[in-house]
Amino acid sequence: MPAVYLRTGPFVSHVRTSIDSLIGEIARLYPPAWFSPAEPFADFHVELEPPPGIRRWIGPQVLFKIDGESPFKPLGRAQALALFEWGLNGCIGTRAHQFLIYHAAVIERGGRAAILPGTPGAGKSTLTAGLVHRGGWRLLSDELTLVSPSDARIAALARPINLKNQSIALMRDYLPGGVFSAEVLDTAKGTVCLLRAPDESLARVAEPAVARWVIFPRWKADAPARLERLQKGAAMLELGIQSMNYSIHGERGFTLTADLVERCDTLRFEYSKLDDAVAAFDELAARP
Amino acid sequence: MTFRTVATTATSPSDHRARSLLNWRLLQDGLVWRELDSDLLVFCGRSGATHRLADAEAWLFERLLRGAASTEQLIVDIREDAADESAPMAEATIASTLAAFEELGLVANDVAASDDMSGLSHIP
Repeated sequence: MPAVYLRTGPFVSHVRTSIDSLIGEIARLYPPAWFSPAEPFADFHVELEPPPGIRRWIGPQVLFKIDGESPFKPLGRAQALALFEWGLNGCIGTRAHQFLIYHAAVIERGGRAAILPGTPGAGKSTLTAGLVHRGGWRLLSDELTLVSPSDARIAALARPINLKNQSIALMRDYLPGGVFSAEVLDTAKGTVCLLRAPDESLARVAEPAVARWVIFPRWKADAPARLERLQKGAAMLELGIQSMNYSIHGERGFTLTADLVERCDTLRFEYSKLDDAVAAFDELAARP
Repeated sequence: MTFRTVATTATSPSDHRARSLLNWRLLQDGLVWRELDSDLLVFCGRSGATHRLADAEAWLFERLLRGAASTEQLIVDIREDAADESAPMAEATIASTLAAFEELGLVANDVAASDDMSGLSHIP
């Protein structure tokens, strides 16, 4: 079975699959240097394989396995790439407890990071894609903010940005030079497409960043781009709710989150147009 | 994992009378808290829950940090600190906030209360 090791930021994944096209699809979204045929250690050993039985032939499906276990239901074979990315997120979120993990995008400019937690539909990924491809921000992650408990630095992943539904056409227009995966139809999240991270973000993946802002974005039709201050107590509660392993860290999770919120500006951001959002974040980055 | 902004609810006058005889103290085991803006964020290690306390809740938590107190004493204290608080309003505020704290496992009302705060840790 074809296998490859993929290094994404602090993690090495050992990926095995007999699905012919999958490794090639993954390879379009990551730099060649991140792949290797062998590594002495892998954090995650994953397989993407057709499930046993008749579904191998009729209505072909794909199953994601981690250490031989299948934590997710199988999806249609055409959804293998999306399943790989979601599965990898699941591996990190449920296993990488050396980090405090928030379900949030994180971007950096001038050595200062903005954490962007967002509920589904808030426009987090669209905003992130616009800011990293056209706004001069570096992508650390579109989905997972990884805070190191020892020094509060945020590790970069620079994995592809997960675009959904109307956002796909919008970003294809906005980023004519962007590297997009094929669209994956009829997933639980609708139509999904992955956008490769900018080259600079990929090249600087080993550089951590320190949080300066926690910003809760929300896309709203016809709304002018507007940043407004959010009470830190409310921000901490919302950020904690978005953590994937706060309760595992217990008191340390509380302390790390409180430290992070205390030293950051906490804001809400409403927007409707990406260019206006980019300008608002330009202005933010110019502040001392 | 639980995150919540503490919401208080009204209690009946008969409850108020019965509970006014009780002596309240913070449960000391595993509480950590942080002041952020005007809120107090409290982590309770026993339940794993994080609570956001504002206004009367934050006042009561800070008051009980200074030591155990009876319901009557708490009503006197809150009236001193909040000049516009009428007696019935203070009584209702204290009663409902204590009820919320009790439900969250932040306080106990045993009569033999101790002022020993050694189990509490405040992160400066």
